[in-house]
Amino acid sequence: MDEFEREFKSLPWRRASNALGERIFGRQPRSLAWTGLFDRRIAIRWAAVFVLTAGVIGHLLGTYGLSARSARLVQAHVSTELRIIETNNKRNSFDLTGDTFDVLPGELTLNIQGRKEKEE
Amino acid sequence: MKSLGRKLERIYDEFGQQLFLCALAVTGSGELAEDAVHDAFYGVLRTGNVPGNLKAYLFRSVRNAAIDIMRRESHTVKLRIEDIFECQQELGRNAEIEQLLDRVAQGLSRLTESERETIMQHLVAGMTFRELAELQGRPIGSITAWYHRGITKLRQQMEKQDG
Repeated sequence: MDEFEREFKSLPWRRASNALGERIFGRQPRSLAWTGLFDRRIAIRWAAVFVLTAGVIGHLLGTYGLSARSARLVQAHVSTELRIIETNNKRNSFDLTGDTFDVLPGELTLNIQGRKEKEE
Repeated sequence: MKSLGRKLERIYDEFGQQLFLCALAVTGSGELAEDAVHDAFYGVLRTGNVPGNLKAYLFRSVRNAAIDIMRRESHTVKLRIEDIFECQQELGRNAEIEQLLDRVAQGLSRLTESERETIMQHLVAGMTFRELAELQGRPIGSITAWYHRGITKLRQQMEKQDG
């Protein structure tokens, strides 16, 4: 392309009006929708991807981040000694007062050792 | 039908301006070029026919619609500067630029239809000679010949006017 062709190309040729897209599709072309906000063409689909990503990150931070709620959940995993009041084939009774009470109403897991394992 | 609409919108977003310039090369009028683009898209939407290469099909449809408009309304290509260039108020042109654009418009109007269309579609719409051969349904040799002959004539006319 020589100088003449470059000059010819750079002349202010007419552009299709914005109304043409509206006329064909009955609405503004999607790529123009956010032009006014960002002063450049941003496709709505990228805006949607951005919003979804921000939502997922917010959700993950809310669940696993260092919020007050997650701190309480971490505290609930404390260890405590459970005193056995009575245990036999018919009845098992435990003391859930004192330090154990502070853990409630969290989940209570019992690790029961077998007799042989205990003797070892 | 809904997905066809989305496909057409995507093509319009990406190639709308190029399609418009292709039509402008045939009609020499912004308004008629917009009519041609509208007619081509509306035709596809109305019939719902989706050819394999929708983009290439739309380029051919826009050109055919532009030719139809010119035949139907017995329009002749006048190439007035306000029809092919952005309007004066928007650009704040001075007299010198105005004169240059007028000379270009006059120069283009002295070319044959094939030469003018090929030059505008190649230089202004940015289409390759291969794409133009497919679009116009002509051998690539004819396209390059029209282009080089036309650009030589145009250059000579501009130089003559300068002298």
